[in-house]
Parts: sequence; C-alpha cells; structure tokens
Amino acid sequence: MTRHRQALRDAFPHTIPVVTAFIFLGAAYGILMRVHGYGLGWTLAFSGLAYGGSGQYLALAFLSAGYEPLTAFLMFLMVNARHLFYGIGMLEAFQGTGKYKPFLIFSLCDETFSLLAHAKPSPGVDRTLFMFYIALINYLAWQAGSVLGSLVGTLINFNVQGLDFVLTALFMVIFLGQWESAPDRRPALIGLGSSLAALLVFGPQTFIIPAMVLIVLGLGLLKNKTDREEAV
Amino acid sequence: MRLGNTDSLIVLILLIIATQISRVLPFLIFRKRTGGEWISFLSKTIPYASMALLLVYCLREVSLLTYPHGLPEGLALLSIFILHKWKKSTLISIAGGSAVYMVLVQMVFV
Repeated sequence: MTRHRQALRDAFPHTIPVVTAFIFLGAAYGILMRVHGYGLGWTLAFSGLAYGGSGQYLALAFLSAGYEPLTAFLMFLMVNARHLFYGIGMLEAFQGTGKYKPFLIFSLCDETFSLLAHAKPSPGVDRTLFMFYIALINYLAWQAGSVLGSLVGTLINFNVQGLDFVLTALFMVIFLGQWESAPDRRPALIGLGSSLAALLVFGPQTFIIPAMVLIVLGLGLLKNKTDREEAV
Repeated sequence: MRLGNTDSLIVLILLIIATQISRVLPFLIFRKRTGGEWISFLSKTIPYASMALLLVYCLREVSLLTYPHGLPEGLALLSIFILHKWKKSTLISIAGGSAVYMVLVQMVFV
C-alpha cells in the first residue's frame, strides 16, 4: 500500500464527525446563500477561497442591506482572530511538512485544528500525510455540503428561519466532547469566564479581542499556579 | 435583496484576506523559533479556551432581559446536551438541536 493510501485510510475515521457536520453545516450555508440571492458560483467562491464557517455565516449579514466594508473587515478579523491561536498551536506540528504546509495553513479551520491537535497517526503512518488528508477531507466535505445546499436551496420552500443555529450547535457539540475528554477543565472555564466577562463589558460587536487577551492572561496565571504546584 | 457583483466581490475579498491573515500570521512571526515552554503550554490549553469563546460568540446577541430571554437558545442547547449524552452522535446532536431551535423560533416564541 502506498504511503498516501495508508495515510488516507488512517485519517478518514477521525474525520467522520466533522465530515457529517460539514455536509450539514455547509448545506445550511448553501441554502442561506440562496435565500440571500446568491447561487452556486458565489457559494463555492466563499466556501472554497475563504473556507471559514463562522466568517462565511457572518458575511451573510453584510451581503445585504447591511453592507459596510470597513465594519465588515474589522468583524471578519475579530471572528477569525482565534486562528492566531491555532497557528501557534500548530507551529511545532507543521514543521517538516514541506510542500503540504501551505494547504495545511490555508485550511486550518476550527474543526481541522481540533482534529490535528488531538488525533495521532497509527504507527508507521506518515505524520505529514495523515494531517494533510484530515485537512483535505474536511475541506472537500465543506465544499460538498455547500454545493448540496446551494442546489437543494432552489427546490425547497420551507421557512429557514433559525437555520444558522447549526453553527452554534456544532460548537456546542465540540465543546461538550472536549469537556468530557479534557485532562484539565480549567482552560475551558478560563475561556468561558473571560468570554462572558468581555461580552458584558464590551458588548457583542467588539468583545472578541478583549476576550482573547483575558484568556491569555488567565492561562498565564494558570501556568504560574501549576508550575508552583509542580515545584513543591 | 442581494448586493451587486462588485460589492459582493469586495465582501468576499475582505473575508478571504481576514481569514487567511489570521491563519498565516503565526507562521510568519514565529519563523525560526519553535516557541518554548510558554507557547507549548498555550498550544495545549488554547483549544479548550477557544471553544468556549466560540460558543459565547455564537450566543453574543442573545438578550436575557428582552423577549424571548434566550429561551429558544437555552432550550436548544439543553436538547443538544441531552441528545449528546443519550446518542453520542455529532450529527444527531447538531441536527436535533437545530431542529428544536427552529421550531421554537418559528412556532413558539414568535
């Protein structure tokens, strides 16, 4: 068996929950794009070139009467700022990935990051290819879902109000999974506390960056505490 | 209802730039160094904190003081929790929870 086929086979089972979520979420996105008056070409352009669920859903608000380029750009930056964290998280993992590195970076969305951070290749499987196929499978699933939704969107006529809740649902499911498997729940609690505090103080439009600052500070304090605990 | 092609293209380009900048920047800044202990700690803990942030982000517009007081969201999230404990399937939890939310928002808390 070639290294590629071996890596693909090893990677695929890990991606199943994300693939199903992406097909569903991507379809919801495709449908919503239809509702907003955008067809397959635009949907594929957004899904294929930007490739970021929360940003794409957010963009829907601007692809309408709410169009305001400067506000849009700032909000896109803010909602995507968490990718900075993911990049930091993958610095070591992406070393030595050669020609696959650009795609790995380009496709580093929430779900791919969450898989790459936790899934390990089986013994003997090429690590780079393993990561590449996880990223690729997720990417293609998102495109497939988007296409599906865009096509189905022309046929259905049901009330789609509230459909964008699927994104919240996805994050909730991921959060629950992490909560159950985390060795230490304090980082999650720090995340929750910091975000809520920032939201209360700064409001929904501008709370993301303060939340991230608080998270880093909180994690710093946690590290100090655990370092001292271990030193004893 | 939709924007013209030029404005739509602008939104697309802005989104591409914003998304990819955030993904590429760490790899540009931390080129040579691998980061050390602090970065290593962050890379283990940030995934958990980020997920919480994202969840709060999705619910950021919910107002507890005005009708419907976050009830559709709260009940839908509760249904996700229950479904997930019961069936342990990502798809069922997401689809079920979303369905609950849509029904509540379309028919109950109108």
